[in-house]
Amino acid sequence: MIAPRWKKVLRDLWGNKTRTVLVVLSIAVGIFAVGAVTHTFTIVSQELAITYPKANPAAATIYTEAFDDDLVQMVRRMPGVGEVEPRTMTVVQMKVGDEWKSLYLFAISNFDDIRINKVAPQGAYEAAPDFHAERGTWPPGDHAVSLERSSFLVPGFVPANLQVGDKVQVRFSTNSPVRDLQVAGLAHESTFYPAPFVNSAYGYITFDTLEWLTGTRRPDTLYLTVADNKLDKAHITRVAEQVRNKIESGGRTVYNLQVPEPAKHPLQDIFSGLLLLLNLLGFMSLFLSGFLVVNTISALLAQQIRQIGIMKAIGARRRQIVVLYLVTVLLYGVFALAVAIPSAAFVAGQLSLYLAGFINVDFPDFSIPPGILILEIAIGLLLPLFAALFPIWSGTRVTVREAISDYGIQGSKFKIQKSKFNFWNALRAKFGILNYELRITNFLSRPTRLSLRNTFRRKSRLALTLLTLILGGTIFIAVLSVHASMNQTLEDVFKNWQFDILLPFERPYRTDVVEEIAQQMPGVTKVESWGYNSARRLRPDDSESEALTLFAPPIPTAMVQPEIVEGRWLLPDDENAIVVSTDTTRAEKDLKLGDEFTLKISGRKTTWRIVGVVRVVGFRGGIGVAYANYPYYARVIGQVGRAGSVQLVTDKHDTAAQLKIKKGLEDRYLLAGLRASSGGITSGQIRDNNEMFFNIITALLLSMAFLMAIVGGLGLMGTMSLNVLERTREIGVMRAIGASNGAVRGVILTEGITIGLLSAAIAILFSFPLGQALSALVGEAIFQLPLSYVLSVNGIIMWLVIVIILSMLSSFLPAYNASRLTVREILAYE
Amino acid sequence: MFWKRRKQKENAKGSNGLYQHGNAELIHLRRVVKTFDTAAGKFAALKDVDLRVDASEFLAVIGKSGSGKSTLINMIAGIDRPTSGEVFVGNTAVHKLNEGQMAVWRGKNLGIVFQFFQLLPTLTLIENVMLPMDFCNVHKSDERPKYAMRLLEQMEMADHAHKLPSAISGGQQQRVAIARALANDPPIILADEPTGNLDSKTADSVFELFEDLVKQGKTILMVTHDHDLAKRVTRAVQIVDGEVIEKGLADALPALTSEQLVAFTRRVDPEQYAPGAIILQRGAPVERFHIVLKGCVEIVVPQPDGAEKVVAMFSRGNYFGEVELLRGGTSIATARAASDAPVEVLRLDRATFDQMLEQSPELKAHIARVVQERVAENVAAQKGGAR
Repeated sequence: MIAPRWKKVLRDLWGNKTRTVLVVLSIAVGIFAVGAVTHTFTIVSQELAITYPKANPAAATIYTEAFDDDLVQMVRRMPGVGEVEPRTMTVVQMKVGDEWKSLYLFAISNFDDIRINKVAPQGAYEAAPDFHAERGTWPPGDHAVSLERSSFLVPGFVPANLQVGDKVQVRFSTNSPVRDLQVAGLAHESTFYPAPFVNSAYGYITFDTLEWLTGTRRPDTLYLTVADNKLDKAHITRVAEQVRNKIESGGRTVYNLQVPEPAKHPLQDIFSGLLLLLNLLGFMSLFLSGFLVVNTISALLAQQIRQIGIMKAIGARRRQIVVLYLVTVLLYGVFALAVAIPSAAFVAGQLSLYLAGFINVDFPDFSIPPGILILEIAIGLLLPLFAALFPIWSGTRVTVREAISDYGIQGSKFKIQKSKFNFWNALRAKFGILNYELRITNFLSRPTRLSLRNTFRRKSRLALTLLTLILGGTIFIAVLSVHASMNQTLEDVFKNWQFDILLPFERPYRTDVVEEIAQQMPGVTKVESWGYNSARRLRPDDSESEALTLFAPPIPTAMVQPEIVEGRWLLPDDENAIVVSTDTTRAEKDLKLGDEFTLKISGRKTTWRIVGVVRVVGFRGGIGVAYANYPYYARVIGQVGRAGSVQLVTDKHDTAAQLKIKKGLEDRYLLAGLRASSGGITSGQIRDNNEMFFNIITALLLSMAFLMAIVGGLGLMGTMSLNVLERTREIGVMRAIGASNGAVRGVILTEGITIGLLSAAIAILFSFPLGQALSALVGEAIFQLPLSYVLSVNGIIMWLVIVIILSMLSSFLPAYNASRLTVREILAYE
Repeated sequence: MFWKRRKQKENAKGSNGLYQHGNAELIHLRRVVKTFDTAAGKFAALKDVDLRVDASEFLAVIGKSGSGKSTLINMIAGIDRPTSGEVFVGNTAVHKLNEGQMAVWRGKNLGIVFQFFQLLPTLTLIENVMLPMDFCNVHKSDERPKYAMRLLEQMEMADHAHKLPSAISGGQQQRVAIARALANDPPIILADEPTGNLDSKTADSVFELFEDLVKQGKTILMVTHDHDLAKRVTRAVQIVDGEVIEKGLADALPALTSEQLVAFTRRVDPEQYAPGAIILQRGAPVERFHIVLKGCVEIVVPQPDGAEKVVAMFSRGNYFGEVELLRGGTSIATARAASDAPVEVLRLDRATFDQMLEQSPELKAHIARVVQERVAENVAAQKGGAR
């Protein structure tokens, strides 16, 4: 049999369902946010740590001139080298609808014995059920391709309604013959960037197919692993440099040597950064949730003060009553867990799936890890207990006399009120505030004045409500400010790139020829040819850095509007001056403004002095980009009068138009015997690539903001309803002295809106520094770039609207109910 | 049961007839002062109050709104603490208990009945009655429903036992509240305007319940506005501006001013007599002035034939002893409690009586007149008897 006191607990929970739901949701929101984010974080990190090494990712990748099997065998025999895998990556065009789109093709020599960057056949694929990948063949035969499955993630990368066995039209370049390439099936490679990040489809072919398409059948990329110390990046770099030197000593040019972080997915840092941000927001909502619990429990106790007094009068000790309410709170926690655990698991599953799609890995197991479950249960039980401890402790302190006299608001608080009264009076007297205040409030109607006074009457309650709403609003606006800052950064970056098309060549050509052909191309309005090269820093210890993309524009240039972070931009008569990007100083930590350092460009060692640091977005990989003055650059590497790339401004600026002109120009150059490299890019493509990435983060940030709005709204609704409930008697008195329904509702609505607006005003103030901190975090963790910070005006307006609507909604219902009560009912309200 | 033995011990007098702290009465407030700090300054709710209530008394505390009567009850219940002074209930110095001790002590020794019933709205009636047993761990948990039901039966509320408070009338709620007050079988019931929220008929039946409880040996202190109800209790004190006035004194001697009543209330001594008991023996020296509070006092003079003659019957508000105190000498008649019911009187000693007359010339003149009349009556009675 349950003792009457526990029956009271259960009936209180059941009897006031609205309040129970409100408290349970408040707690659940906190558990949910932290649970979902931590769960996702765990799934993603665990699975990346397991899946990625399984594919045996390359410890180093060497891009060089085409080679044959002898080189592979030679490298394989070198000490310290583990496995070696030759590959070729080429870009062809595939007809998608009426357009020719890029298709990256990797040629693999032996599909049955792929040693590094393993590619596996993919069976049925959820993202493309109509393709029927389960019917595919593996490995792809002659004149056939196995498409990487992530190619299907973005519509438009491959032809619509593509099915296994269909043939797609491809050509190597505009002048090449169009070939019918059969789609043999799907493949899956978890070590390469997924198609959405490459911004085109890609697939795997044999070297025979490569020759059929391009005329060449030799590999130009060497993947290698090391025999031991597989996680030691320094060791891997040493081995890879030995291999590079060996290849170079054989007379081949090595274009680039990449040594990524060992056993780390290329996108892991970005996702870790993203999840860190989500975690931070998750814990903020937990904090908010705690406030909400404090708020609601205080209100609950305020409502039950009389009952507490009665229980004390009939012999209950304070300890017993404290336990009674703590058990109530624990039960709230248990209900909240019942809501939060499954929903957090579901969202974590969906979020992981979403992220898995972008990382292009499979997460087989969505079960809740015990650690997460324990965390959620701990939060669900401890957070409310902890949050409610103070309100319960102080709420149960009420004496029987205070409780049964009048809600305990007079007795013990008299002293405080009195002292405040005196303080304010003293202040008023001193500064004449009273007169000023009278003048101000005289403008307002008496009911409005009553609302304002009500708002400020219960200061501790007001403070709690305000804190909750301020916290919610601050995070909401800050999150949207991060979003606005990302967009602003994107805008700033594109101010940086004034060209529409950047077209590098496979080797330098005469400047006058390059520019003449470009100027004759319809749609091109401005042309500038640059020096363009891949350089490597020669460090003081003789080791070499990864590739640095070096641009050498004529100064002044119309194609770049640099965003200087430090130092200055290049001057026309600069000699060995160089301006590096923030990526460069981040990768080579010892470099700073004013330093001199050595670059190895086309085999020549050259010395440069850093005169400026700029922010650049759009060129990932290597150690970023740098700018040098063209005349000096051309002189030191012996390419005077020759251009490595051409930059163009076109009359139309959309991606499609840019790509069309780019392709046309490539064809014209080819006709003249000038070969453009595969590195050509349009500003539209840079924007698209970055925007997609921004959009993922935006979606996550917006859902977080939405969560904050819900939590804040819950807080406001709870407080307003309880405020009104507590004042039922006062409403009765107002009605008794002739207040109309409208007047009663008006007073309560005005109060709600005042609280909402006041909180919004303070939230706007606080959101500025928080938004700045979050933006810095997002910039650093995800973009490795400082964001241009702006406060989101939209966020402010949205929050104001939300707050006003919520405060109206949450005060209207209780106001409506209160105004319907008869005077007799209200005054008998006990 | 252990708790019962302990409670008996808590409330039992010692061999000297006094409780542990030297109080002769079950409830004794000694020079109790209570001041509240309000926005308007200090407010004295109780001013140096002395009050003694004997076991099995039914004391009404009457007074205007704000006079301090609820504060007085709160002092005894330990709901509020005196600013200065002492409160003894049985062997317990209530003013010295901390909050935790107070709650346990209160739960077991006091039953409190409130004006607005104050039943917990989410519990059924029987659960409300069981709640004090639950908090004070009285009875085994499986026996509590039985005890609670017995109390509800006593209050004629057993049929409604499983209803919620909102489903029954105010009068019925108050009966349940009384059942709850009796849950732990406390010796004392404190009732703060228990009938204030009830119609007169319902109030009457609630009052009858209280009268029954007094007959069962409970001591009841009841705050009330209702002067009619106050007449039906064994004793009433009036609170005027935080000071206690013995209602019997005020009723009997209307010539005294409020200040005089307050001052002399401190010096009156309530006394109870069993039916037929001698209060004053004829021929014995008289040192006290008596005011009848309850019951009937017979004034008896002996007849020459040895028989007794009742020459006067004194009831509530009448007094005797003034003749001897003023004229000196021994008692001219015997005063005894009527044989049908016990008698309660207020006693004042000679010094107090003299002071009273000295301070109130009006009273002095009045008493002198009464003495003259009574002596005349007495002489007539004796003459009549001789004849």
